This record gives sequence, structure tokens and C-alpha cells, in this order.
Amino acid sequence: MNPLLAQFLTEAADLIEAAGTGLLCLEKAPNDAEALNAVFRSVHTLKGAAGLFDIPPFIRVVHAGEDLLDAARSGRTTLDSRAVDVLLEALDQIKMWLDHFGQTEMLPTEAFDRSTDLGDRLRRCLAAPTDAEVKAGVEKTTKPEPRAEWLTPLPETERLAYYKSLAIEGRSLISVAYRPEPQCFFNGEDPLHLIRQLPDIRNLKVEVLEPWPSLDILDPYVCSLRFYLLAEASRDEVLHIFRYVSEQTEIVAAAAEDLIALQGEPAEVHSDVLDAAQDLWRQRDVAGLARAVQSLSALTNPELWTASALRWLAVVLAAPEPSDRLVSALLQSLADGKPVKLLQEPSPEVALRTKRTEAAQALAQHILQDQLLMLSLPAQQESIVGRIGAAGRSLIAMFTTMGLPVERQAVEAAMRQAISRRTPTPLRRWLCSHLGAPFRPEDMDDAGGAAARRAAEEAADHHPHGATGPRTLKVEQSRIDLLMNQIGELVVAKNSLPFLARRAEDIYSSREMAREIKDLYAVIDRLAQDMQTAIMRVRMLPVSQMFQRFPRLVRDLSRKLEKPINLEIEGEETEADKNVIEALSEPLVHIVRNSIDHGIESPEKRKAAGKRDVGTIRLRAYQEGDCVVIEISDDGGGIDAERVKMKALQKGLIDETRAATMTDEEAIKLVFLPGFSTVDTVSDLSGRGVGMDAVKTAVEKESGRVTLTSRRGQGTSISLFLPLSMAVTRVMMIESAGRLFGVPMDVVAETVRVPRSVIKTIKKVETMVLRETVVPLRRLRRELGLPEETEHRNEEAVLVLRIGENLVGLMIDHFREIIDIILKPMTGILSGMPGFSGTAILGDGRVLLVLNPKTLL
Amino acid sequence: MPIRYEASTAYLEGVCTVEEAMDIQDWLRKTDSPEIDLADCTHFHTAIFQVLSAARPRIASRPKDVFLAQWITPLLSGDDGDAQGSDG
Repeated sequence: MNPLLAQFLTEAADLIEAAGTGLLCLEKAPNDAEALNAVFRSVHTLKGAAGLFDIPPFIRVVHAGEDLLDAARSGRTTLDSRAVDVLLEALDQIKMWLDHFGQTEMLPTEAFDRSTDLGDRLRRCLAAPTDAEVKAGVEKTTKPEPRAEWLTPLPETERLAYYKSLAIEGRSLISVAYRPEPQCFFNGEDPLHLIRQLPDIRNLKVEVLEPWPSLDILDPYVCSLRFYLLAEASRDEVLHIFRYVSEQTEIVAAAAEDLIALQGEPAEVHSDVLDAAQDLWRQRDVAGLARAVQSLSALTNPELWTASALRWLAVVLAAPEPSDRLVSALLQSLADGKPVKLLQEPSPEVALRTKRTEAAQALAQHILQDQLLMLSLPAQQESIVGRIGAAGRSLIAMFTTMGLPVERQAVEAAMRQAISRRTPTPLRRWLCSHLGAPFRPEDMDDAGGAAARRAAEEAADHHPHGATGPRTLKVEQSRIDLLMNQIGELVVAKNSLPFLARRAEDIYSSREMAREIKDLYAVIDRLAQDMQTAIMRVRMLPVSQMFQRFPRLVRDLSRKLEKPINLEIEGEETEADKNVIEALSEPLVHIVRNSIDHGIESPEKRKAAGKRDVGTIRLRAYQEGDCVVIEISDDGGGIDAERVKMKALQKGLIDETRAATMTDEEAIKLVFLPGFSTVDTVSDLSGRGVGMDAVKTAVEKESGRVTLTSRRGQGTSISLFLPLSMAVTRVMMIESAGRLFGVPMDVVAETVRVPRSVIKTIKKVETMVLRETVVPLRRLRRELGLPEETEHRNEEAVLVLRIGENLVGLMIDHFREIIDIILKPMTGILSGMPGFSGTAILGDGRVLLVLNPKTLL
Repeated sequence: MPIRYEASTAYLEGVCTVEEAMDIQDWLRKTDSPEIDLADCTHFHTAIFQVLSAARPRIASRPKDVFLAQWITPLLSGDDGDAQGSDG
């Protein structure tokens, strides 16, 4: 994969993620300008990045989203939950495309249709004015309406005809400026075919964007045309025909302004004729003026400017209600020989808005001055950051309200700079320049530190990249893995030093040499451990990465099931190894789905049970010893132990005697049994045939465990325990029949030496009693098919293992030391072998087989 | 075959699709004073329009199709000063 693409993929994924998170915040707090801005920035950056690749559908969707967000930002529209829905859907879609693109460097074939659909829907969100807007009577756009300017240079006869259709016959004339994408043919578009769908074409102009090259090198498959057309049709009809290429077209109703333009040679008009005409118009004598125009026309050379003006006057006057604006402007042109001025007069609304804007401007000036004053006051070092923040936020809020995104961004930048340097100067400097006031740096600085701080600031200005603040480095995971493996090898290699020390002593009888090697070993050991910790930290990710997707999931499901749910997330900053986080994501989704689907009751049921109608799901992460714990709890109905028992009985997972003696706690744990998930628990949401056993398996695969507690009517809580890191495994070495084996420390409960007499045989199984618990015993030699022990011992070494909930004693020959190893899973034909989880290399080069007690026993 | 090539005349018939653009471009390049017959053409793809617009062959027979006759052929036969193909 080319590096550019790889970078785009990671970047885009991050941006999509960020935008999604931001949108959810926005939905809760639609007026959060900061969040809106953040979402907009993400989408905007995404569009820029995507521009490097040939993925028009992707860009189309992002572009439409950006427009919508931009409109929201400048207050032209507000994002209601419908708009957020569409935006989220769009994000999901482009994320899928992104994955597809990453794998095949192409978008799926249906992307084109999807993108037009999404683009249209996003634009519809933009087009529909919100209630608030309608009430306030706010003008929808600040941009001038696009105009059909291409009409103006057309021959006058054509324009006169169009005007007649428009004003006199009252028809709808729609102008379309259509610039097909250069690559549009590859999307199956045929602009001419589209155009011929229009019912009544009045004009069609085709512009060749660049002179055609020689036919030898012409690429006919790059569309380099621009179409202008005028159709007699309703706006809706035209929009419908061009719906798939809406962003390539500008569709506007033709207006008088586009059509009326005078031509011809300048000529003098008698002033008394003009005065007479103007008098007639002042009296609104339309018929009289029309007659005058007609007789004057007959006397005028049609090539003259005057004639042109008269022709236009004639048609304008022929309209059912001649517009004063047009007639006056034409009379004016007739008099002064200058082009017709048809400037739109400001409507009362606009005038009001201007007035309001003026008042707002004055207020804004006031706010700016106040902030400057506050920032200029001497301040304690510790209160500076707070003060900068306060001033910055006020300014940001103000510019947001005023719809001035450029200024707001400038303030944001200045504020960030100010906070990172712990001095208000950048913000003050910006304020001064904005207010047009002189900037005096010494205003604020306390006498002592002034010079030094200024010097520091200058230095910082010179080295913008040396600025403080978190800097991150994105590195491919494989590189980190390589480094980690190397460090792992180092850990193993250093283990050979003690062997060397022993050899030095035993074989070369050099006790001193042995001691020196041991000293050296201690140093290398410490360094290796530090390195190991460091590399682990690199691989650690905050669980927020994993939690991020839940607000969205919960929101969607909660809406779908009509169960209002409040999601609480705690301990997002808790860190765990990347692999652990990845391994946990799926089970977690499953559990949360389960909670929403089966756990939380419907609002009616909740009310009846005397609970708040809004359910709560709590995701909590924390570290406990060398485990990360993820706890998912809900305040729903809890698990019905009786129903679980019944179901387990029906499925034949337990027998009746067992069912009768089971406690509720034990019954609840039945949900973890494979095959428990039944058809009637499968719903659209959870289930899908995967039950809690799948969760359990996934977690146990990563050497973790799951606990579940549930109280009827009060809710369920599930905790996933996972090791912090999985790179280095601690194993206890044991010896049997002269061979070494490793047993992972996480299953070792304790080591005991028991006298032979303690071991009793119950039903042919050797057992012992350990602190009032009966522990079954197994002999490792027998399990592995090694030769039976010949010598009789008085004492047995028993390794007590915790397998699931049960204790098992493993009788071995000798305990050895505990070491750190890099566990390599079995590969090839050995990979499926039960009883072993892998191998590791020992310090002296021997291969250590690591047992997997769960499959062995 | 929507485009029939004969000596110095290409007959565009029915709907000429985007796939034909390359063929007619080749033919126009190789043919001396080519002519095109649009009489039975009901539509041609924008890509073909581009080729014709660049090559400006003589139109031997105007199309019966209203849209082509009214709006498109005038753009191809007109003397509206668009850059003439420089293949001659």
C-alpha cells in the first residue's frame, strides 16, 4: 500500500471517529459552538485529505455533510436529531467505503448511487428551514442568490421572448448551469442524455472549457464541457431530472435582471420626450406610456440604444402589473444612455437586519474592549490560564453568535497559543489588532519577569514547533511489535547470564568471575525490565478508544427500542494493552446490546416498578492489580434465575436434580454455558445466535475471566477481568520425570507440599482436603504419558490450579523458579494440540513447553 | 452496430453509446474529409459529442431526432468559432 494511502486511511478513520463523537455531543447540546466547530473541522479536513484520491462518491458525501455543518455553524440552520441521523449515517457509510478502499483501492460499485442519495438527503436537511427560522423570519442565506448571468449576452430577440414568457405569459423559466465532473462518464453519466430529458428546452449553450487538442491526443472520456440551458419547466421538475448531479449544477429561476440589457449605438433623446414619458409613468398611465413608447419606436432607428430601451419598455409595460423598478430603471437608461441598473432594493427584513447588525456591532466592540481590559490587568501566574480561558470563551461565543467563523477561529488559535505559553499576550495582540488599538506588550507583565518572558515568547515565536503541548507520533503497530519482540528476546537472553555465572563457578572455579557476572546480570536485568515497561506503555491505549463507540450504539438502540437510556462512562482514561482492548471490543458490544435489549425494561414497566423511566447503563473501567476490569452494569430487570433454570433444563444442559438444588446465583451462571443462547432470545439486536458463552470464550482466550451478578428487579452487572499486558507471560517452572514445563502464573492458586497420608482416594480419584475444600488431584506424569515414578516419596509436591471456578491439584516432581517468558504459540501441525499453550526459549537455550491446564485437565 | 463506417461516411444509427467514442475518434483521424450521417441517430453520448465537436466532420444528413436537430447539430456544424480539430 502506498504510504500516502496508508496515512489517509488512519487519518480519515480518526477524523470520522471524532466527527461521530462530536455529533453525539451536539445532539445533546445543539448550541455547543465548540463541538460544532470541532465536527466541522474534522469533516473539512477529511474532505481535503480525500481530495488526493479518486473517490468522487466519498467526496460528494463529505462535501454535502460539510455544507450542512457549515450552514449550522453560521446559524443558517440548526441540527435537529433528524439531521444528526443523516450525518451519522453518512459517517457510517464513508467509514465502510474507507475500509473497502483500504483493501481494494476502489469504492464499492454501489457507492455512486449511495452517495447521491446521501448527498441529497444531507442537502435536504439544509434546505428545510427550521421552525425557529421561519418564526424569526431570518433570511436563509447570506450569500447572494446565484443568478443566471449567462442569459445576458444572448441576442436581444431571444431575451425579449423569454421575458415575455416569464412576465406576460407567466411561465416558469429555469436556468441550469451544469458542469459535469471530468470523470463523470466513468460513473455512467451522459450529460446530453440528462439534458434531453428536460421537457421544453428554450436554449442550450455548450461551452468547451479548453480548446480541443488535436484529435490524436484528445481523450474523449474526460468531460470538458459546460452546459447552460434554459428550460420551460417547474423548478421541481428540473431539480428532479438533475437530482443525481445536483452538486454539479446551479439551478435558478430566470429573472428579469438576467434578461434585460440594452444594446445598440448611443443616441440623444429629446428631453421633453423623456419628461413626458416620466410624467406618464408617475401618473401610472400604463396605457398612455405604452402608446408613447410605440409611437416613439416607430420613429427610431432599430440599431440605436434608444430603440433597444423602447423595445424593453414595451414588453415590460405589457406585463399584467408592470414593475415600477423595471420601468423606472429603463426610463433612466433611456435618459442617460447607461446600462440598466436593476439593483435589488433592500427588503424591509434586510433593512431591519442591518439595523440589528449595527446594534450588535456596537455591543461587540464593547465586549472586545472589556476582554482586552481584563487581560491587561496584572494577574497571578496561576490565575492566568483561567483568565485567558474565560476571555477566549466569551469571544468565541460572541463571534459564533455573530456568524463570524474566521474571527472565531483566529481567537481560538490565539487562545490556544496563550494557554500553552501561559501568557495572555497572543490573545491581547489579536484583540488590539482587531480593535485597531496600539499593542503595548509591557502593559501586563509584572516588572520582574517581563523581559525574560518576552525573550521566551520571541524564542517560542521563532520555533513554533518547539511549542509545548502533547505531541504524538503515529507508528505502525508492526514496528512496535518488532521492538517488543526484540526486547522480549533480550529478556530471555539475559536469563542465560546466571547459567554462565554458574559455569564460571563450577567449571572454572572462579567465584569472583561468577560474582561479577551476577552483578552485571543485575544491571542488565533492571534495564531490560525498564525497557519492557516502557514498551508496554507504548502499547497501552486508554479504554476510551473502546468506549467511544458506545454512546452511538446506545443512542441508536435506545431510539430503536423506544427505551430512553442514559449511558454513564467512567474511567475512560484507564489504560490497557492494545490487543486486550481489541479483543474486548466485540464481547463488550454484545453485553451492552444484551443489557439494552433484555436488561432495561420498557419505560411503562419501569414506572410500574417505581423506577425512573430512563434506564441507566454504566460502563466502568479500572485497574485492579495487574488486571484491567471492565464493568458493565444496568439498572434493568435483572436475570430471572427460574427462567434460566427452565431453559437450561429444556435444552438438556442440566438435569432436574441439579435444577432443584441450584441456588439462584448458580443458576444465573448457566447463561455462560455453550448452547444456552436459544432461539427465543435471538432478536434483531442482541442474540444473533451468539450468547454469553461467546463472550466468555473471547475473554478467556485472552487469559481473562468474566463474573456476573444479577439481582431480580435491580439490574445486572458483568465484569470482564483482563491481564494488563499480554506480551510477557509469567510462568512457574515445574519438573516432572526430569523434564521442565511451564505453568502460567494466572492459573496457579498456590503451591503446597503435602504428606502422602493426606491423599485419599474417593471413587478412584485421588483427592486431598485443603482448608476444608476437597481438591481432586491429578498426576502430571500420567496426564502426559510420562514414565510412572518409581521411588516412593513421603511428601508430594502439589501445584494447586484454579481452572474456572474449580481448584485442581497437579502432582509434580519439583517446583522450580518463576520466570518471564515470551510465549510463542504452537504453529503448523502442532497448533491444534491440546494441553499446551506454546513454547518459550530458556536462558540456556532449552525449549520450555508451557502447559495449558484448561485443556490438559 | 450503431455506427456503420463506409468509405468516407460514418452512419450513426439509433443510440450511440460511450463505447463508440474511441472508434469514431480513430475513424475520423484516419479518414480524409470524413462525413457523418445522423439521419437515423436518436442519441449519441456526450463523449461522442466531444469527438465530433473537436473533429468537426461535415454533416451529410441531419438527424430526424428533434433534440439533436434543434440543439446539438447546430453546435457541430455551426461557425461559432470553437477550436477546430487540428488533425487535417
